[in-house]
Order: sequence, then C-alpha cells, then structure tokens
Amino acid sequence: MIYIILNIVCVLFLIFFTHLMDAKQKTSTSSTSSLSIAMLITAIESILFVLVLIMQRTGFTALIVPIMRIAFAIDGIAFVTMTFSILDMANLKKHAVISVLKIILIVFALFIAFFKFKTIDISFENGIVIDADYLISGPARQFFPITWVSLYAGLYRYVIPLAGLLFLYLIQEDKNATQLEKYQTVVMGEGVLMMWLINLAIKFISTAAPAFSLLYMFSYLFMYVVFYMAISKISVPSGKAMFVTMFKSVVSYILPAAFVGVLSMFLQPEENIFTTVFIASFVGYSIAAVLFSLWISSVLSSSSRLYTADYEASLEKDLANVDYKESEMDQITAKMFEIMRRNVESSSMSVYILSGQNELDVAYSSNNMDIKIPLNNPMFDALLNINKSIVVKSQIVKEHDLAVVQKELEEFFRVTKSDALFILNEGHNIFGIITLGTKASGDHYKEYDYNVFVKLYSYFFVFGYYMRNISNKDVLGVVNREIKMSSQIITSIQENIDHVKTPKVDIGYMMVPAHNIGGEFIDMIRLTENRHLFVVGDLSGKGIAASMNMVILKSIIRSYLAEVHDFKQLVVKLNTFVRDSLPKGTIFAGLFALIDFETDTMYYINCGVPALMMYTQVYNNVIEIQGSGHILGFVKDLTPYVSVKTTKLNHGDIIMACTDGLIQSHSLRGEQFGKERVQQAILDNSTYPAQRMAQFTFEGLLKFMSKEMEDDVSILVIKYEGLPEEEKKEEAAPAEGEVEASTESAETPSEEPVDSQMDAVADETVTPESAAAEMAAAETETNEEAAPEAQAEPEAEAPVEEEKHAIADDDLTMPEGFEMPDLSDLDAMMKEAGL
Amino acid sequence: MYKTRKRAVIISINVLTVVCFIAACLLLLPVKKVEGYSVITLVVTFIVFFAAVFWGNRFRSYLMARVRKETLESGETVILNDFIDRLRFCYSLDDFYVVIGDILEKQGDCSVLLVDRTKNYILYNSPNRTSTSETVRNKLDQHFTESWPDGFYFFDRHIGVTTNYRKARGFFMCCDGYHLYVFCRYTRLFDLDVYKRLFEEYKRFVSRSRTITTLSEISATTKEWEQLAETQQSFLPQKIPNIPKLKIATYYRPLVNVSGDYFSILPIDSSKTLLMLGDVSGKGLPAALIMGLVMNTVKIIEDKEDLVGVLHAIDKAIKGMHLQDKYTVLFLSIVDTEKMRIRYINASMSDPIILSPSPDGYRIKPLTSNASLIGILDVGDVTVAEKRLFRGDTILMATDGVSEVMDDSGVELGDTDIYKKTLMAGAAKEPQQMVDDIVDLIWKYNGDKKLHDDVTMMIAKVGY
Repeated sequence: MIYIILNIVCVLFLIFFTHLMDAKQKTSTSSTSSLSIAMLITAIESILFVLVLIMQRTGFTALIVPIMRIAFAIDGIAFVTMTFSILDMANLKKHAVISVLKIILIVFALFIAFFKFKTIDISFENGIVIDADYLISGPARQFFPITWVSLYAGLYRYVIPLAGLLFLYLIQEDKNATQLEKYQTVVMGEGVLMMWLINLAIKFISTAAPAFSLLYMFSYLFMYVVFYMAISKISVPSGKAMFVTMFKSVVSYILPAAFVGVLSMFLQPEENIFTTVFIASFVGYSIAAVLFSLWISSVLSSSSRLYTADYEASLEKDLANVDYKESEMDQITAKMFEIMRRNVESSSMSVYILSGQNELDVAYSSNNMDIKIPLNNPMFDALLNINKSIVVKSQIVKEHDLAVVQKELEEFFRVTKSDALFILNEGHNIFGIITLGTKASGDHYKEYDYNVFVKLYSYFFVFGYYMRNISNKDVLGVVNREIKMSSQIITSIQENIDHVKTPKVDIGYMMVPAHNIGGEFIDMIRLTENRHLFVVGDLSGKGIAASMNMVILKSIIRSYLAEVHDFKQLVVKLNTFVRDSLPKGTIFAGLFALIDFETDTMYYINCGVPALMMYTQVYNNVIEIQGSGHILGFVKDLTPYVSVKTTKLNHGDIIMACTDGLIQSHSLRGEQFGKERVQQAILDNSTYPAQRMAQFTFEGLLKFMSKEMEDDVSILVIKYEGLPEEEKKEEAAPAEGEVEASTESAETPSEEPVDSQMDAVADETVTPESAAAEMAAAETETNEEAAPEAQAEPEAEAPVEEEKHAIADDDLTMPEGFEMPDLSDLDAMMKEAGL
Repeated sequence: MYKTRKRAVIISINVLTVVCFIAACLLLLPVKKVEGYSVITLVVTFIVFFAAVFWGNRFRSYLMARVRKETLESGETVILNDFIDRLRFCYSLDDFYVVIGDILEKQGDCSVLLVDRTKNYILYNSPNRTSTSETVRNKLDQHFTESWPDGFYFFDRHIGVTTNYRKARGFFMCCDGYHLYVFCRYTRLFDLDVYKRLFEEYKRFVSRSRTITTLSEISATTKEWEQLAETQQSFLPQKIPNIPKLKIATYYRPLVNVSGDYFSILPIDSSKTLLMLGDVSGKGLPAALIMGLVMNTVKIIEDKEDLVGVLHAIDKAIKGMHLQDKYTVLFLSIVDTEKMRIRYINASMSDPIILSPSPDGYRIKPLTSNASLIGILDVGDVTVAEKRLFRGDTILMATDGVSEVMDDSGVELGDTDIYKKTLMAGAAKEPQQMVDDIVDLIWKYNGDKKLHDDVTMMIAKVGY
C-alpha cells in the first residue's frame, strides 16, 4: 500500500514540476523547451506505473504486462528526449543526423520493450522482475553477461545521458559559452549523478527488500528537480559560495540523515520492527532530527553571515550601515569597496568625480586607475535620455536601447577596466560615476546583479554625493569654524546702528536671516540732532560674500556722508560705487529715507524696496507710498532715474518698509504673503510700540508659512509720535494744506525750481491722500471730507509748501544750517550712543 | 495576517514532514534478518530522511512566497509596498513629498502630516480638513512630543496611541524627530508585517536625507567661502595700470583662500601714483572684511594726495566696525615720477626698502615706520615722510610673510645674506623678474613645508 501512495506522491510531484518547468520556459528565453516534454513523458510513465500497482493490488492482472511494456518503452523515450533537450541548450542548428539518431534510439527502445522483455512481473513482495534473454548466446556470454534488460537500463539510463552531457560540455567549450551556462551543465550533471546513485541505492536495498525497486520513479523525480534548479540558476557561485552551499547541505541534510540512519541501524530489532520501544524511540529522535534539520536549513539560508548568491538583503544591510558622519573618507571608501567585494564579488571599484573642466577625475580607485573621463562622451547623454543610470557590460549587446552607443560603452568599459557603470546625476547633470571591475570569478555582472543595483541605487548615489562633496576638501575644518564665527561678526556689525533718541519717533526693526547671514541690512545714521538717515536694503548674492559687501556698503555710506551733502547725490554716488567697486553683478535694492524731526518731513528715495507702507492715523488706512528710484548697480548714472519724494508725517503715522522676504514668502499651500497681509498687520497692530509691530508682523509671517523661512526678512517700522497734542493742532492747518498741493501734483511730478545746480531734495510730495487718489480708493468718508477742503484753497497753500522745501534744501545742501557731520563726529556720536 | 499565516505554514510543514518521514520509514523499513546491524536500514532511513526534509524545505519556501504574495503584495497593503519602493529613491524631503502625494494621497486616499518635532515645523500636510485642522495639530503636539521614542505606532479616533490596530484611525512613525502621521480609516486592512519594513525604510530615508543635507551644506559652505575669496580678490587691482616711468610687479598668495593682505595701485595723475600695501591682523572673515573696507575706503576718497586724510579715513572705517583687536599695518605712498620723490606713511609695516644704484652696487635705504597701527590706537599726529628717488631705484614693499619664512633651523629669510643678495641681484632686473626670483627663493628656503602666512609683495621700479 505504501508503495502505491509513494508512487502517487511521486506522480503528483512530477506533474507539478512539469508545470513549473513549462511556466519557466514560457518566461525565459533559453531553449530548453523539450525538457518539459521529457518530464511530461516521465510523468505519463509514472502514471502508468501507478496504474499497474493499483491493478496488482486489486488483482486485476490481465493488463499489467502490456501496460508495463508501454511504460518501459516510455522510460527509454523519456531519456532520449531528455538527453536531446539537454543538447538543445547549446543552441545547435537543426541537424538531420541528430533527428535521425533520435528516432533510431526511440525505435530501439520500443523494440526492446515490446519484443525483447520476455516476462514482466510486478509484485509487492518481489518488486519488478523482468526476464529477458542474454544478448549474446554462446560462450562469450561469460565475458559479457548482458541481458536485454541490463542493456536497456545501461544504454538509456547511463550511456545516453552521459553522452549527452559530455557532448553539451564540449560544444559549450567550443562555442565559448558563458560561465553560467557551463555551471548549469555541471549542475545538471549532478542531477544525473544523483539519479544514478538513487538507482544504485534502490538496487542495493532491493537485495534485502525487493519491493524497493517499485520506487525507482523517485530517482527520476530528483533528477528533474535538480534540472529545474539548474535552469533557475541566475549566477555562478564562486568557489567560496559552493563551499558554503556544501556546508549548508551537510549540516542541514547529511548529518541529521546520517544520525537518524545510524541510530535506526543499531536500534532496529530483528524480525518484527513494530516493537513499542523501537517505535517510541524512533518517533522521538526522528521528530528531533527532522525539526532540527528544517530549522537549521532555514536559519542558514537566511543568515547574512554566510555567503549567498542571493546577496540583495545582505548588501542592502551593509550599505545601510555605512555611517558617513563618523568616519574619514579613506575609511568610507575602503568600507564601500569591502562591501562590494564581499557581497557582489567585485574585483575592483573606482569612483570618478566631476572636476572643473567638464571631466571626471579619479576620486577613489581600488586598482589605481589614473585616467580622466570627458563628460562630452555621447554615451552619457544617450544613457541619461533613456533614463538609465546603471549599465552592466553584459547588457550592451542585448538591449536595443544601448545599440546607439554600443561602441562607446565597450570602449568605456575597456578603458576603465570595468564591467558595471553607475551614473550619478542630479537631473541632467552628471557629477560622478562609479565603476565596478568584473566579478572575482572573472564573470560578468548579470541580470540579477543589475536588478539589485537598480533597487539599491540610492545608496550608491549617497556614496557618490559624499565623495563629491568631501573629496578635495582639505580646508573643511577651517571653513566650518570660520563660518560659525562669521555670523557672529556680521551680526555684531549689523547691529552698529545709531539709535534714534528723539521722543518724536518710535523705531522698531527686525533683521532675520533665513539660513545664514546674507546681504540684507537696516541702518540708521544720525546726521544731526534733528535728522536721521534710514536705510533698508538687500544686496544681491548669498552668504558671506554678500555679507562682506553689505558691511563695506554700510561703511561706505558713512564715508560718503562726510563728503556728499546732497541726499540725491549720495544715492547717485552709491550707485556708482555698487556698480564699479563691488564685484561684478552686485546690485542693491534699498530704501533711503531721511527724516527731519523739526519739520516732520520724510524725504525718501526708494531704490527697489518692494513695499513701503504708510499708515495715516487720521484716515485709519494704510497706503503704499512707493517712491521713485532704481535698483543700484545697473546703470552708470542714476541721476535721471531718481527723484526725492517727501511726505509729511503727523502724529500717529506709521511708516513700514520691508524687503521681499516678507512680501514674497509662500505658505505651505503656495500662497504668497503679499502686501495685503502686511497692510492688515499694520492696521491690526497700530496701537503697539514700533518694535512690537515689527515683531508681530514677522510672527504673522511665520505663522502663515509654518515652515522654514525661504528668504531673509527685514522690517523697519517708524512710528511717528510728532508733537504733543496741543502743538499738533497748530500745525494741523499747514499740514492739511499740503494735501491739496499734492493732490494736484500727484499726476504730474513737478520738479522743484529751487536750485538747478544741486538736485532738489523733494521732487514730489506724497501724502496719504495723493496716493489714495491714485489708487482710486478714496471713497471713504474721511477722504470725501478731505477732498472738498483740498479743492477749497489750493493756491493759498502752495507757497507754504514751497517755502518748506526751500528750508529743507538749505538744510541738506548748505553746511551752515545743519552742519553735515564728518565721520569723526559720527564716531563721537556713536560713542555717545553707547555703541 | 502575514505573520499568522507564516507561522501556520511553518508549523504545518514541520508536522507534515515529521509525519511523512516516520510513516514512510516505518512502512518501508525492511525486516532485519541478520544479527547486529543492517546497512540497509541505514540507507533506507537516510534516503527517506533526506527526501522528506528536502521536500519539506522546498514546500516551505514555495508556500512562504505564496503567503507573502497573497498578504503583503495584494489588497490594500500594496499601497504601502509601493510607498516603500518609492521611498527607496527619495533623497530629499522634496522627493518625499512627491511620493506622499503620489502614493499615500492619490492612491491611498490618506491624509498625511509630516512634522519636524525638534523645530516644531510642519514640513508637509495634505490639503484636507484633517491634516490642516488646528485642533488635530494641537492634539498631536500634546500627545506626541519630541521625546517620543522612535518606532511606528497606531492612533485611535481620539488621536491617542493604541495597540489595537483593528480600531486604528491611522498610524505614525517617529524617527529622529521627524514624525509622519498618516490618517487612514482603513489602517486595519494593511498587513501588520509591512510596518516593520516601512519603518526601516523610513529610517533609512531620514538618515539618507540628513546625510545629503549635511553634505549639501558643506558644499554650500565651501562654495560660500570661495565666493568670499573671489569677492575679496576682486577688490585688488585686476591688472597693473600702465604708468609712464614706473614699472610695477606684484605677487599675492593667500595661505587659505581668504586673506588679510592687500595692495593697491591708484594713478592720481600722469605723474603721481598711490601705492599701498598692507596686512590686517588675524585671519579669516574679520581680516577679509577689514581688507575690503580699507581697499574701498581708499578707492572712494577724492583727495588721495592727502595721505594723512586717507590714513584717518581708514582708521575711522576700521574703528566703525567695532571689531575687537582688528588693526592693520600699512604702507601708503605717493610716487611722483616727475619730481622724482616718494611721499609716504609707513604705519608699522616691516620696513619697505628702496634699492638705489650706486657705484659700488646697490644701496638699501629703508623707509622706516612713522605711524602706529591703524584701527586700534589713536592715530595721533602723523607726518608724511619724503625721500628723493633716482632713476633706477627699486621700491620693494612686502608683508612679513616674505621676510619671516623660516628654514628648517628656524632662521628667518629676512636675516639671511642670500635674501639680500637676491634683492641686490634683482634690482638690476625687470620688476617681474625680481618678483619671480624672490618667490623662487621663498619656496626653496621654506623647503617642502607648508607656508605659515600669506605672502604679498609689490615692486616698483622708477625711471624706466
């Protein structure tokens, strides 16, 4: 009964593996298609054999002999098919001789099975007993005691497969087959050997237990399984790998099997084996041995410490463990090579990093390569275009995409003595490549290696990125220390500000760099007791270089103030300085505002600050009072582009200027902060002190963005307290008078006729109302009230304004009114201010 | 799910193998007929054992692959698997946001919130009610603080951590201060086993993006420093102006790329030229700043003939910086080729010299110091010194980097005869030739060692 069950199991397995083999052939390109046919034939044979066994069991013996004949004939046919399918692996051309030979062998098998086997007896006691004549009748028989049965078995089981394998091996040698193909042949040879061994073992056992010969199908099963494994091989293991595999099979199969076998051998009682003691002990050690064997094999196959041809997991683990922070570059490269050597068996590794001249230079090489690789090689472009960052040499001929650059690639691999190429690129810019030498076994990288590389590409990218940034960095330590120091230095210089002391005004400002120090600054310079110059600006460029320019510009403004006595001229000169003396391409967007506290007037030139807002307490609204100016550093002579505007400041008015960092920052959703939000912030916080206003506006921005800042932000808030209440009332009339004048002049900026030689300080007067009129948003009640008033007596007020400007001009241009301090005074003042 | 099924497979395979082996063996073992032991028994048990275990192993790996495919690689878990696969190729947070959008949001309908807990920034949030809600954010802030240990967790509908993933409203992962919250009502459908891999990959991503960021910063810093050096060098004369009767050659070699040495050649009119050479104390950015300041201050001064005024302007500019202990030594001179004289202020520079031809070779006339350090002390009264120049005179100005080069025995170059000889010999040559000779000497004298200071010099030859 057990024999029937085991044979049924065998049939199922055979069918299952035939199916697997068939599925494999559909996907793979190898021409092993007939191998599955051989397996199928074997499966049919085993089905027939099972049928026979069942017939025997049920006593239905009439058909046993004919069926067995068919089965034996099929046995031979299966071997012939199998052998010829093995030969097919060498991709031989269809040859008439081969086909004829095949047919002859098949016919011969049929002939022997049907005509030369005399009796066939199948029983559960005696196994398979076939009787046949001796091949040679006569005395020579003594020397060649060969029956038709042994001839049949010897020829089809031994000679034909062996001949097929040897033939295949020779062809492969001749055709220069790949290592993998040769290795597959070897594994198949092992399969055939295994079949022989099992057959011999069965034969040996059948001397004691003849029924064992009924299990002969199992030898075929094992053979085909090994064949299947051979075909599934994707890489050639090194000697080490083979050793490891052998070690694994010894530990997980042979040793436990031997243990169980030896124990049973000694423990088995005579005659009756079903004694309680034996069964109990047998069950006991069997369970232990089987579980151990299963456990150890699963442990060994998943252990990364032991070498495995399927190295993906252990390679990834190793790569993930590389710590770029704590090691020196030499150690990292050595470690990386060691990882590749151990897991992938790469014989060498080189890293080439982009140097200045569009060339890749050796940054690391385990085999001391010393070549430069020009990036203008068309293969790089071609590879990037097809989005291929990794190429292994064995792909070149196989992949159509690579056909266009086949020559270049082959040349490249030859020159760099490598077998695999990793391109490290950011977008379309290559910053480096990694090359790997052939495997230590001399073999090329395969599909499997390629797939693993692709999967783990990110680790190679990080490694390359590291190499790019760390190589040639001998001054790294110095630089890092200096940079840390420099932000402190720059910040302390930025804070060199003459703070305004007059109670008429409340100043608040914030300068917040986004990442590191940059080119933005706010400066206040005290000119006289009643005059203060405010500068808010942004120098182009990033980082320390921009900061350096900023520091110089700050100092130069003060130096110029010692020489230049005209507001507009100061800006014109600064433009020339930025353009000619600072590094090429430097520009400066800034606001220059001069406030005269005595006349409550602000003169300003806006050279490109994006937002200059003014809040008027009387109307409780915020308007933009963009001045007219031009970013410094573009044109040679700025004179035609700038004009000084003035605006009258009243109690409670607020001026806010900020750089584009505030206006143009985006929220997470991509929305811009925008001017409206700034205006709203001014309105909302107008009751707070200036410093708080700047702070709240900035906090509003942070909340709006709720992420890291994109750009530097500078905010200057000037809150004009003006005169005490009573005095203010007196001033009110002329102040309003100015309104009318400006509403008219708003459309056409009027050049002041005061001084033609020196530029007029105020080219245009801006008041909240004029700006509001321009904006056509003057429908508020307050504005309507102001409008008639404005129209009422325009002429009457005009002289007043002119007079005011005349005074203003005097103040600025003539040293007698307010002497323009030179720098020594400034120094003294700064000392006074406790700076 | 995956884990349970995996266990089921292992246990059933183990049991099956054991049962098969024992049954087959007992049934197959032939009766022992001899005394002692029988090799047949050994062979039979050996083969049966081998076969049983071999097939057991095969079946196990086959079934494991099936189980894996059916649980982890099918159903909703696929979404997280895709996410893991894409995560492998993320190098920066920006890449990560794209993947979140593509997989978790578009395919998985999840809403995601990524918070940098150390800075308390929201790095990313999905544009929907849950992840943008203020209350949700506050709850997350309160519940999962910075000190929350790394790992993956599930949270329930109250956004409290839960172990019952069947009732989870979502999951979150913490790694190194980066908290990734994924709100997903069908979290229970993800196979539990996927989280371990997800977290592992997330951890790798965080460390990878950190590495990349650090490296980018280093590269940016280096670039910044190079830019500073470029800016600084742009302040120096880009080419030597062509001045009649005055031939000038210069040499400038900063030790690191940023330096405190400077020189300037500014023609005032057809016969007068302002020559300046100086050295700011210290190194690095402060020195570079002062250097830039001095150069530009001098450049914009209108009356450059007033050397005392120039000196005062420089002094003021430096003092205006309020940097501690920053000063400069400097040699400031106006060479007049018409009147053949040099007016100069030497503010503590190691002596510049004039090599004057005389019947018995060249005579060395030092231009001794007549002012104190600039930028730290009160300048006080400074008088401009004046010397006559003769045709063929060579003026040599150099920072102490030249004369203080040491050989192996510690002797400074300025004290050696060979230096004087080179100067004498050089004075007869073209200025550029002389500069080259001195530079050669410096390298030879210094040996293979690294220089310790910036080296700057200027040689002007009068009358040709």
